[in-house]
Amino acid sequence: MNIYTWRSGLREAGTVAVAILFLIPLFALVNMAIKPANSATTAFQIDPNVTFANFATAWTQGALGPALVNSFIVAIVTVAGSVVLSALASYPLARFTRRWSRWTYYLFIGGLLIPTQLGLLPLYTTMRDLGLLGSLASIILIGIGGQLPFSVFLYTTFMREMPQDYEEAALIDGCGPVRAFISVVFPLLKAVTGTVVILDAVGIWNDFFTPLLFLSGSGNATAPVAIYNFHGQFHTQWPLIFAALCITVLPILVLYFLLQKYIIRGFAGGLKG
Amino acid sequence: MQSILGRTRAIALIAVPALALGLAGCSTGGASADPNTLTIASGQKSAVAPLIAAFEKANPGVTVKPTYVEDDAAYTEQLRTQLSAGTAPDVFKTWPGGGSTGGTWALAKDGLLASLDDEPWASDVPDALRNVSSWDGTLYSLPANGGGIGAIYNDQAVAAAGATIPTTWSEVLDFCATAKAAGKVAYVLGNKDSWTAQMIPYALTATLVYGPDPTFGDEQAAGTATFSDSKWKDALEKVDELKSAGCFNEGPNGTGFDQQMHMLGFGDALATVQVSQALPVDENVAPNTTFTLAPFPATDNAADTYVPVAAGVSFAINAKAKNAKLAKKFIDYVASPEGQTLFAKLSNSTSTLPADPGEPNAVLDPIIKAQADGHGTSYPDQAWPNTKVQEEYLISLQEFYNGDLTIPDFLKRLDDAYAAG
Repeated sequence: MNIYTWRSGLREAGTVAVAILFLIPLFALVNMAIKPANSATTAFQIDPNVTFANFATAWTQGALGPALVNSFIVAIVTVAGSVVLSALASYPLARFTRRWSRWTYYLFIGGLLIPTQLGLLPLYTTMRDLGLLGSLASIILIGIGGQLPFSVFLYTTFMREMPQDYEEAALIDGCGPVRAFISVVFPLLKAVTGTVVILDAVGIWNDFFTPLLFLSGSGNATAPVAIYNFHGQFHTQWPLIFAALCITVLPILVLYFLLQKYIIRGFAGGLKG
Repeated sequence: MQSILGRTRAIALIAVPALALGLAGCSTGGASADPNTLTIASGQKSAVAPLIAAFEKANPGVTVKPTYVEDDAAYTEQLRTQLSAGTAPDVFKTWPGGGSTGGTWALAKDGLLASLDDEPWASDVPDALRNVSSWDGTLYSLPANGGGIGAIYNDQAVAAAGATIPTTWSEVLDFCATAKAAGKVAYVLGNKDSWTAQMIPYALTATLVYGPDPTFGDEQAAGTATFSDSKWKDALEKVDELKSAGCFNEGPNGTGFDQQMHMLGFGDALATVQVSQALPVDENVAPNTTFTLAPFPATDNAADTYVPVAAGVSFAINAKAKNAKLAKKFIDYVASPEGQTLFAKLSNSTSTLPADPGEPNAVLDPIIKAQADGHGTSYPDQAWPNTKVQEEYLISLQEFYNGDLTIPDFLKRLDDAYAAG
């Protein structure tokens, strides 16, 4: 029996068409990055004078190397801090059914409703008083704090759906609660951890205003701030900006591909609650 | 399970400060405390960076630590936060008048700026710029350079289309017809960057409103004049006339400033109405091309045409500057004839205070001439009492160009925003 019918062909064609549609922004991104500065073509037209020199120029002029190192440090420490703290905080919130745990959970979730701008000045003065202005520590701390509400929401709802049998077995076998969490519960959270890692990493990696404000005057810059230097009020070097974007998007793209199988599972688990 | 919570708390309490302290090594403060180090925040790096280098060269041993943010909104938010927290730089860029929360009036009103009344150049600030650089009679900012709004023409494209630069309103309409016949855009708009949308109405109201009635701003403040009952209406009707005559590009609200200048540079458009600082057009885009800046007429008598002129970049000193002495030295340098000549050249602008004699930038002649002839008016927004008017103006302009807003509704919105104080 031939299971490949004209309907299958139509479905495949539809899938390919949608895939092409999704590739259009990527095409524009790369196409802009390989245009000469004087190109008269639009983002969707290919200039005959393709140049790859923009990548080298963007790398050197924009000091992308140190900026990427800073972005890596910030993203790795922030994501690690966010995962550790939110997973640990979510465990009792998911397992206790008392009133205080419900209200503590709501307190965490309430953080999602606070506009960033509202906390900006108090955070800034706090960092000033701690002597952290200009250091990566300031944006790492703010990043961890900013990511906690959503991460706690995902972990808690995921854990509530998780059966307690394994933990109980571990406790009967003599495990303490911390050992049970580290050895039994946390490995079972792989899917939601993947989601938290990718969402936090993308948010932190792309954040522009926090590093702009908190690193101002220190000589430190993260990738988005470094790219921004190609922008001028009356003259913007678009090919260099797009070349720099191509370079800086790669690490986060690789991370996404590595963790993509967890993302849907993590979301599904989180949203079920 | 109780112990879990206890440990979590303990870990959080220990981990967060430890992380903070561990990474605090490379922390830096705000304004400088070293007597030979000055901190500055500004935009327009291409012009300000060489100015700072010249200041450092003229003052051996002095180090300037600049921070550049080109986007006005991000710059203002950063500056206001730093000023509130006491970490703002010693010297920073501000705007003349009251159209912005980062403008001289708003900052001086909040007590955030140092007085410049005692500076040796204070009496040289032209009367036209003194009001927008002062608050309550005290001078708070140095108008470091000047510019204006006019029509910028691509000379080669104009000649190729067989057109001539118009000096009257009727000629403007003829110019549009000639451009259209040649398959070119007459006046390209880049309204996607909303600040560019205001140029044509500003150019028209200079001749129709603020030139003939220099006290219009004061009358508005006194409540005896409104946008709705003024010749702002005529100015917007003329914009409508330009739209109907096919003077603009397709989809102006989807065209950005860069694209606007590229179209002008490539000759796809013959002209655009812009600030003089938009010149020179990127040489990569327009090699071997010359441009002419000309007043944009609004009547059929060329002698009636006024040009909006204004201070471009203004510098102010932080009221809590860590290094006020060096901050004043920098401001004094920018205000000196040497600094004025240099900054005008670097920023492709006019000087605002007495400058060293040098070769003037010929393309800016119409602005210099308009000022000299008393045919210069200030930008309207610099006398608006709050930032709401400008916000409303920019939003309404895009709707207006889109054909979604009538002129009476447009002007009523401006009046309402003005009345909001």
